Amino acid sequence: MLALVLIALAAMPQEVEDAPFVSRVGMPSGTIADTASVTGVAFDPQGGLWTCDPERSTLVLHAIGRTNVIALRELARLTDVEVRGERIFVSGSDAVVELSLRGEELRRFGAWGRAAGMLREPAGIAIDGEYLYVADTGNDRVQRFSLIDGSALANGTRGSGAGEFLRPSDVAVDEAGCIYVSDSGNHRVVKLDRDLKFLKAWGDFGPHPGFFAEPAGLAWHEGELYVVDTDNHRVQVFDSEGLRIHEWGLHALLPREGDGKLHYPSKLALHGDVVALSEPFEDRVQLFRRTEPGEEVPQPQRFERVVSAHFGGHVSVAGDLAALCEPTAPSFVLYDVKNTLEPWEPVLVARSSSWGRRAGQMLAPTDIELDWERRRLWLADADAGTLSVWSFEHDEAKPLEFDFFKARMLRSLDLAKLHALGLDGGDEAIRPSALELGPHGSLLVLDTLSRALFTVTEDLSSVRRVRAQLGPRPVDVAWSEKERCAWIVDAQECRVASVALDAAEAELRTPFGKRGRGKGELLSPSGLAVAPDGSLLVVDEALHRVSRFDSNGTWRGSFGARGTGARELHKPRGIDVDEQGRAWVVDWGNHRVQVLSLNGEFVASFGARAFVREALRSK
Amino acid sequence: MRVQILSLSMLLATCAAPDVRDVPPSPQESRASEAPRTPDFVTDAALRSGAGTYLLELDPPLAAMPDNESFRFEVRVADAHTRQAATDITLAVDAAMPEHGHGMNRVPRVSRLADGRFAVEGMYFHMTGRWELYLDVTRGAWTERAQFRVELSDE
Repeated sequence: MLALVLIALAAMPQEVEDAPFVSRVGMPSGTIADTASVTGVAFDPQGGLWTCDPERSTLVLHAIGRTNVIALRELARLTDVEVRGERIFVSGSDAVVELSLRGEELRRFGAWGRAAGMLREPAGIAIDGEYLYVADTGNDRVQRFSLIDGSALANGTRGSGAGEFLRPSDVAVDEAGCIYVSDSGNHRVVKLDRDLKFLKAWGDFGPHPGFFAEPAGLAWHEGELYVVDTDNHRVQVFDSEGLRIHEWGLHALLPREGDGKLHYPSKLALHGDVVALSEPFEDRVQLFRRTEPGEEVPQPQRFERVVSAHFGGHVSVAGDLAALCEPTAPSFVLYDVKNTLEPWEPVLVARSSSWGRRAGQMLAPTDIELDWERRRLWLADADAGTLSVWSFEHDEAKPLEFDFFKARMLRSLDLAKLHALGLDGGDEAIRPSALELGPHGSLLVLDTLSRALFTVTEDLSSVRRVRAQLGPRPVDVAWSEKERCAWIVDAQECRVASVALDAAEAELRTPFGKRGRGKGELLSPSGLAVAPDGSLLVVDEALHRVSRFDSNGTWRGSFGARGTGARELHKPRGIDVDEQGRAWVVDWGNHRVQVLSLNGEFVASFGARAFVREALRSK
Repeated sequence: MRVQILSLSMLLATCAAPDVRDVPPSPQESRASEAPRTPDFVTDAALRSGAGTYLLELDPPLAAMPDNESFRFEVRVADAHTRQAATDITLAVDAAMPEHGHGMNRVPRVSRLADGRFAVEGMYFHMTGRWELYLDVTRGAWTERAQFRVELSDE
């Protein structure tokens, strides 16, 4: 009997000693709300948190018992901030500025340009000893400035190989002096030595651990590299060689959902055991702390099904169809808009999606334009550096159904090769950011970064640069058949102006627009369309509204306000007007398109599915 | 398992560019047309690329392409205007099943043959259903697609 008991005891599971507790960062501990489109964040030595407000061009200090707001008059679209002792470094559209804590400008690094020492839209900075490191995003490179004599060292060109970058967006430095770069467009992290020589890279496009989708903010802290994995809505933590240590981030599924849920996080900063994570999409900063015994960091979910559309910044409506890009998919989609459903709602009828660099594939499509009469559509992909023309079929007599074979690519134009052949009239390859059908079936192509407008023949065989001096940040173009001119909206100058395409040296004409929050004023215009009567509709991402102007610039009214309901918008971006005079507004922050009358009356919305449908119904 | 290929007329409808405009010949071309004519590089059965720049002829033709086994075919690419071999181009070949969201599970190899033809090896349609075959012709900065539909059924 005793033997049996001993055997039974031996067969019982041995009590396993608990694994030693390891504290991980990722427990939500607070939110700083109403930080409009907040980008960069940085802690000062006392633990105060500085945030960048790109809409007001201000730095704001959040600290108990201390307040400070620094307005920067000579630096627009703030992107990142670092604090070292009594100095603040802040990056913006074309420079990095060194400030005193009182806001006095002490020094400026860079100016708009492509030469070494010059910058275009630098998105991230880091300080290490005597050097300032800058992610020179628009120039696809990293720069190192000496804090002693201001001398600059630049390294990197546009591409995906060693020593190449595609829209690098942040930098971090470890104790050994190695530099880490979030190479956003290539969905990887690149490690450089202190002289900016390539050491290694890790990551690729995808949702799984160790993969990235638009990595952005970086921070090196206590031997670990924190990487904000923006489009995967999470933070991943690595060692210095790219070995993944852990991750956190639960994807928000409802509008403005927080309390630890993430939605397009951007930059981060660490102080002790606290992480501050900015989310410009949600106008907030969330704080996270380390776990305590018994706690577990909520792990990211990887969804099997798509719960919402992720439209890009533009929409094109023509004939029976509406077309949109989904840059993060990447894909373009076609919706039938002439169906007889009750209540009427555009219906998804086609999708083309293939990630890659080969012809017919996409990296991040930026705009799409429809020509209903000729059954053509054009697609722009700035990351891939391509324009492509596609044909499509659509028979309204056939039953409404999804058609996998609806669109087919006819021809693709490699804009880097075109530039190498000297056939684009510019001094760098075109990066198409907006498209518009122009006169005589031509295509208008806007390049925000090079501040240039091009006309392209319908078959993409010929490209001509329009000789016009555009503003600092032209973001959308619209063609007015009535005025026979192209209208351009500039996000930085909050200005709309027209360009005559056939002039030898075209000048911007009839400019209008004033920066502000009042009636008829603009704060961050992001899209433009011409109504059938020639009036102009301007979408404002920061003011969550659409304003209407006569062609002489007289304000005729606005519609839209921040929210998720009908007639409400959240960071709207693109707009088009259909033949019935209805406005199609890309309600980007609500993952949907709203169709509204020109007076702002609600007609329909589509795309959001689970994200805001219930919220919309409740209104 | 039987391979069912769409009829040639359907294929032409799939591939032809309906509004490609005829360009009148230049004076040099008119004079050239009076010279002894070089035999066409492709036959009248050749199919037109998406924007109408090229004529492509497959050997064996689409209807003879097998399923569920690796196969090889050759491609002649001619300029549509001259019907002569397009020598300053590169060719890439791929295939996909849009309804299933995937392509082939092999990457075909394309090599240029001495007489201006191309050999495509390592093709493999690994399941039945509707395939799209893509032949991308690149000259300079422009890539033009010739696209064919191939239906494979179990019947």
